[in-house]
Amino acid sequence: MAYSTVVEDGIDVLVVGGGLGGTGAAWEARFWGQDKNIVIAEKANIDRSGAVAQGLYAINCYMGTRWGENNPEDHVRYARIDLMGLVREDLLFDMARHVDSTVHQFEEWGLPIMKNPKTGRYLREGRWQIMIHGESYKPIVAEAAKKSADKVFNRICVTHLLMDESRDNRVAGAVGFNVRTGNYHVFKSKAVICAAGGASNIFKPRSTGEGAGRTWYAPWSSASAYGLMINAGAKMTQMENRIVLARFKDGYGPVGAYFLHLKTYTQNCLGEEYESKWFPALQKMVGKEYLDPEASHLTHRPIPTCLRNHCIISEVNAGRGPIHMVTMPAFQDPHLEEVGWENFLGMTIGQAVLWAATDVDPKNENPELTTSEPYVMGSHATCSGAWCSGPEDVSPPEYFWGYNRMTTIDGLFGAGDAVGGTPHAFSSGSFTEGRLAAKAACKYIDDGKAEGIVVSDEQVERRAKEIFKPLEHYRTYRNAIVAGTVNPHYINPQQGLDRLQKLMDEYCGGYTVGYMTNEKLLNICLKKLAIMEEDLESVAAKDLHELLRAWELMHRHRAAECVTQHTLFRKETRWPGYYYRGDVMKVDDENWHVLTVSRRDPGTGEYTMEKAPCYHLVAENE
Amino acid sequence: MRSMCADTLGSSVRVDRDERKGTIAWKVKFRDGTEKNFLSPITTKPWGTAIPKLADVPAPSKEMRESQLLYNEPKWIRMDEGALRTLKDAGLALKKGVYY
Repeated sequence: MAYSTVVEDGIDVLVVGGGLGGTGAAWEARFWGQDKNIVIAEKANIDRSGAVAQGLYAINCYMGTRWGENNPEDHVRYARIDLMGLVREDLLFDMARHVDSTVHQFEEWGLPIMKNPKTGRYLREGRWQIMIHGESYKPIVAEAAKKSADKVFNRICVTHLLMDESRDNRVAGAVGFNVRTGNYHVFKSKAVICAAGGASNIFKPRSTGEGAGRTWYAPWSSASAYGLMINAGAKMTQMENRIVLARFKDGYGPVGAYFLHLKTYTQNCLGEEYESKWFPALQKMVGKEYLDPEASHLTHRPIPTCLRNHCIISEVNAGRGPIHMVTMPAFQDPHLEEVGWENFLGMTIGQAVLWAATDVDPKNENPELTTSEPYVMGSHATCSGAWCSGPEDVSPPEYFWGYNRMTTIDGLFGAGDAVGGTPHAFSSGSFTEGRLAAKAACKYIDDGKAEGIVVSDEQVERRAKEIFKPLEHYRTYRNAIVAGTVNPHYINPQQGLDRLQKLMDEYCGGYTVGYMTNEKLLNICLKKLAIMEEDLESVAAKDLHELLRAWELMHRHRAAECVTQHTLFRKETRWPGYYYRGDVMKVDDENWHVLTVSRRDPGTGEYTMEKAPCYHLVAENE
Repeated sequence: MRSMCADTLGSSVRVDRDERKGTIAWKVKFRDGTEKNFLSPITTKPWGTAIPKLADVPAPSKEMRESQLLYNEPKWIRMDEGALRTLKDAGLALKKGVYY
């Protein structure tokens, strides 16, 4: 092999993925481990990587306890109702009680947070959101991580976790390759914080062809958080809880500031309010406990996001699309127009490019909204991810095994998309989770839990062979091409991705089938995914870029399989508007008011599914 | 200073980001010739100067290690002398079952 091997030995804390979760972990780890060796491995460059790479114009998780605005438990209740009852309330409470200290630090570092001129407080967009000038949010946060880390390895695609060979179920580091030089990188570490990304592009995207790459979540979020952890045998939770977003059509421009700050609203193609007419039928599906428009009106209890999606989907299916965002009145005010544009320019510039290219000016016409393809992730408004321990002063026994944010693999911690059960963390909450994981990882090491780790040369060499196999496969069979890129001996990464997206779309509830699936379809999906797994042995990569795409595809495939297993297991339609189980079109609290937990046996590939109890924060005397 | 642009068959979005000035400017040009200009701050401090090195701050005490506190806490949560929130403070408990 022409590429050299670079071994980084003696790491204490390895952070995999330098987005908001990973930068939070690296930053905080230095405080608790001032003499520790802290290393970040990142697929891109931490200055512009992760979901906040393009910038962000709001911090969506800020309590404001200093001004008496909210308490952490208020946020837990909000996330609970938005997710139709099913979240990890211990993890949420823990994140919410720390998150303000993170945001205050961001301001201290120079992040421009907008202020309310009347009160002097942070300018609220909504109850939980504050507005920022955040085009450079990520580079600012990356500076902090760089000040704490001993080394930052940019351009490393981490493909596998290394496992200890002296003790079962203990992590020992990670391996991957440099996407520019091709060098094989081995990181031997006492603890690993997995802060890699969630899953964009496992379902067929709406934007294809010249629009390919326009996605709601970062297109480089290749499900690595899940691929890495599932393959190592970590337990996962709520992987069926994918998210569908109602966003500006084709550019995925965010709607939060538009709804909350600019006070724009939606209507159907006839200029009518459409949402309320779908509520009575929807209430029969989900029960009054989850949808009570009168109570919501009186108490400002939010209507779950999935149910609002359901109304858009139903209205469009009834032939009264498109849905428009009514922007014209607000945009006549130059200040509000400026806020609306800067909101896109500083976080989703592709929407501004698209509007300029197609002469859509929201001052002169009301732009279209539509529902996206599904995404699987754990830091925005859904909570897929690893089954992690909570903090010892909050968590009940089923949710606690020694170290906060530790997965079911010893020494493997999670943050951001990697942690299951904590929706509505967003950027500030993900950074906070990284901080929590870092403190716990340092304690794990200080408690002597990482002593005596053994990684054999055999394990390191076996992974190297596996990683570079797609390049070998290409070299062996490249001359057998029959036309274009068609080769009877292999598929290339794009062909594989197209296949994965098509089968997830058609069988697991993508947009082309109206987000509908059922048991029969899911079983076909699993069969096709198993055949695809055989074909992934024959993926060919003609260069290092395709090798990166090949490994992203393998992570996406594994995550998709886990999503399908979970969707099959949960026999109800818990989140109408995110997906529908056509064979069980109701919320079933009697049997399914639980968290779903899976484990894939790394040896056999078999999944074990279980129900974990759902604990709620309630008054002590209730 | 970093300038970039996206030109698409007659329209364009141009960006001028300047860490020294701490600003970013955008020029949006529509296909029909309409132009809009925007300017935002990217930082409030001289770039990269306001972040402490945690290797140099006093190490946490044993008591702090055993607590639930993170760096700078509890002070930075409310910017006062308040403590970290607990379930007891909130008068709450975690209970198994179906609650709404």
